[in-house]
Amino acid sequence: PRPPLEPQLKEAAPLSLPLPCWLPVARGNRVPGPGAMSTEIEETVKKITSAKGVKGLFVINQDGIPIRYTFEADLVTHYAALVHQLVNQARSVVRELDGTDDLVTLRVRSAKHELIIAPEKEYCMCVIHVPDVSYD
Amino acid sequence: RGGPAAVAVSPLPVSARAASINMASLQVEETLKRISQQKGVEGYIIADDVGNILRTTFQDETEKDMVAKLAQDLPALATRASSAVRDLDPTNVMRFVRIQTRKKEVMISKDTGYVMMVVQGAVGQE
Repeated sequence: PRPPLEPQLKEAAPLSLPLPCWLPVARGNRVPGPGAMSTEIEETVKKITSAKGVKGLFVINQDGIPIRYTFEADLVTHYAALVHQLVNQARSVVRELDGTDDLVTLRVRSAKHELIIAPEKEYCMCVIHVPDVSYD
Repeated sequence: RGGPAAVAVSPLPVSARAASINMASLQVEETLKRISQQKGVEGYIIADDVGNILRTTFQDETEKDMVAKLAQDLPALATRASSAVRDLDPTNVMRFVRIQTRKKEVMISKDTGYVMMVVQGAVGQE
């Protein structure tokens, strides 16, 4: 059984290395260059992860590949795969119910924690949050 | 096999059992009423696994389509979320799924055999 999420947060994986040539370049999967944009992202990530109860954060791209994360890579891959499928299904359900409407947030509240998933056009951010109240 | 049937099923005398069932259903009614009267709540839908609607506050003919679609699609989504939670941690169990769109918010609570969906107005709208 997979160990539960550890409380320590690791630094986000830096994306400054060039992608290997055999890796298919997914849509929107561009390596972000250094500069003001990265600092803004880092600041936002820090702000969210330092909020009360936040255990971890990750961002996936359109293909479900995690591009930013604050905990172990293999756990992130697991989360990313599941969240990616869930978001796709939720988005299609919303579109089917009302063609003009769009998914803003998806929250999955379980007994131990809450996943707050915020999809955007190209990326999707997911925050793992342990609220004060526990639902047991 | 002779003798009166179904008398000795419960230790309580029949009238007390009927009274406790009434109490329980009263509590259910009160809870449902409280939920539907909350600020921002447009209504609730209680459906079973297959999509049959058991109870709903949406009685309008115009809304019947929407209600039927919600009862069909949302339980599948809730099941997927619940199995995702179990996949990540077998000891964890999903309680709610909350879908927020630009126009509405639906809170889904799934239990064995039943799904309860509460439809609310958009976030920030009261």
